[in-house]
Amino acid sequence: MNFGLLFTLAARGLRRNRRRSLITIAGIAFGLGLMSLSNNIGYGSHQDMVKSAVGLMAGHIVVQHADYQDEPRAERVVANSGQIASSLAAAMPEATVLRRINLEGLLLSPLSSTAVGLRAVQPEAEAMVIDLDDRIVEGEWLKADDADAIILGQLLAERLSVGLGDKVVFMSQVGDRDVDSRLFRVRGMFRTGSPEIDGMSAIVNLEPAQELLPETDPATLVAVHLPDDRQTADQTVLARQLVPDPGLAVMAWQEAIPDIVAFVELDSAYSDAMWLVLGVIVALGVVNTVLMSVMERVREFGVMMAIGMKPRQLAAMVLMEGMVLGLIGAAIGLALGTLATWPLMHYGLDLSEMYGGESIEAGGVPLSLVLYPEIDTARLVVYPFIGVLFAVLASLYPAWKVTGLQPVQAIRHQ
Amino acid sequence: MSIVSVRNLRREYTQGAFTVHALRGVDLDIAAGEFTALMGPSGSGKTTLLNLIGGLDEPTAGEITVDGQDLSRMKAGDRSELRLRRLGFVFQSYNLIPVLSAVENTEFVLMLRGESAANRRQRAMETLAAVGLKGMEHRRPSELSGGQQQRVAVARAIAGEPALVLADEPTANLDSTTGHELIELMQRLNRERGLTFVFATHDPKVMEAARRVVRLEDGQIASDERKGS
Ligand SMILES: Nc1ncnc2c1ncn2[C@@H]1O[C@H](COP(=O)(O)OP(=O)(O)O)[C@@H](O)[C@H]1O
Ligand SMILES: [Mg+2]
Repeated sequence: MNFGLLFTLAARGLRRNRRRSLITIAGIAFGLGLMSLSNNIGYGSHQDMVKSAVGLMAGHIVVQHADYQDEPRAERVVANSGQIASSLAAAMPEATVLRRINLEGLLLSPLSSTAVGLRAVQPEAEAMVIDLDDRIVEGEWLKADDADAIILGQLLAERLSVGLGDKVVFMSQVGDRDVDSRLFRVRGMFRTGSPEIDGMSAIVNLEPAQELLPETDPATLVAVHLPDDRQTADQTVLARQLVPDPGLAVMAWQEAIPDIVAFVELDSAYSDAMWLVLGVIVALGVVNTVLMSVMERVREFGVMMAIGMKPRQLAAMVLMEGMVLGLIGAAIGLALGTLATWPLMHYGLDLSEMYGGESIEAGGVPLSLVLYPEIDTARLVVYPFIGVLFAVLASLYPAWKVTGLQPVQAIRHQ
Repeated sequence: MSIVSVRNLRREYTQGAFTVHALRGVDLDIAAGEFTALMGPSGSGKTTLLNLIGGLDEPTAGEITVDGQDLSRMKAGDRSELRLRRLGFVFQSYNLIPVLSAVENTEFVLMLRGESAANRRQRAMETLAAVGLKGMEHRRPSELSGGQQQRVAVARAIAGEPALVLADEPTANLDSTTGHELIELMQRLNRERGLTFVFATHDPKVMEAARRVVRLEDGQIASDERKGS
């Protein structure tokens, strides 16, 4: 029997009880729409998170002391970091290669002192990679030739009671060296919205911080920031060839920040599980609709069998009805989900009132509480199949019941 | 040559503790081109006999040969194929597919047979014209009267040029004039096309139209009369 006839029979069969079919389609559409919207929100926030994580790490690929990952001690540095950075930059012309130093220490002002995380950077390269330079609320971003400059988180500046131009002293003790200190002048303040970051971080140029570390031309890390995350795996292989020193570790961001990867995976798995439950509920609704419409037509099916239609053709017709329901529902659901995503992509979904803050920390990364969904194109393609698959699966039981019909009994039915 | 040959046919239904003997040893031969009325009061076994001849049901005992094929040796799938290729059915009522138009109902069997769209549409239109439904081809069953619906059913039964048409009380739900017209239609098709009809009825008026009347009583053949033509 041809596909066209099956389709015609199924489509017209569904039109017979229009209201019931519409309710089922609405159920599928609503479920899928909600699912795609929530997935887009999740996807957007995960992308955001990965971006923050990559920014925090300074790049998609990072070169560190082999033991730094185990325990990030300041003296575990990459020696001759400038040379390594140049060779990476030469091999990956599209990438931004930068160096960083992370130091824990004490920041003292004339009136106060507090523990800080000092980050030493190359200002221009850094500005290309992260948006901290755009978050300056007072003063200006670092200048490469200003060795004494320091940029403070706004909250940190408040705690130390310092303003632009004031002096602060950074003190730290690296490894078994003597306690060392360095004087800086406040040139700017930034604000990210995360109290942890704004209250604890300070940024200076690379060179003055290098003076506090052992080895020649040291850096805590050399990072490669790629134009596209999809290049990460391949370029990591290349970077490993360029940096063969067993005392150094070359890692993709996924290895360097496994917490983030685990968080994203767990979060996705959790929401997928939720949607699976919803899918099953919707599918049960479809089972009910298709079963009811089958039961109403037992006599008709009997006549069809009498004139030569085979039970499996009847079953195919019932499955086709499920498929048509699924197709229409999926199409509408996807349109709804995408339509609902659209405004949120531009205006964002603001959860800050709900959580009382502008950002939260997850896996050591600041996450904005204004979520910007992104259309997850990979899944956009998959969803219609999921919708149709569930609807067809839900029609399996009614279809199986139909194959058990005996023509004589079916014709006598009612 | 016999289209249908029935030997010592029995059909029993077990209902809980007791057994209903719907057919108690029926012998019957129907030749190609015959127009046979199966008469008898309600419960005499007409439907049971037609269903068995049509391969819709299986006998308790006895043999049925239809179009040279021994039904008792056939699997359900093969019987279904036999119905599709060689038999036509008309039931008492509500036997059209409500979501399909008159012409779509008529070509349904041809579609199941996998005939080309143009071919089957043309044949269906011709058949509908032959049963007097020209101009109503695209109406749905709900837009047709009972008599017209039964004409569509007849058209569907004969569109595939079957060896045998089985009709179970096709006039029972029609008023007597419409019923008579339907019988006349079947008679004409029998005469003009040589189609073999077996139809069940307990309407004595319908009986007059038939050239052969087989009377069933209590699951047995009570009489078998042929009128000279
Ligand atoms: N499926 C069935 N189960 C039990 N009894 C049946 C069934 N079908 C028919 N019968 C019985 O068999 C007898 C013959 O029925 P049927 O062939 O329908 O007669 P008719 O068509 O002449 O009215 C009746 O007594 C009827 O009650
Ligand atoms: Mg009957």
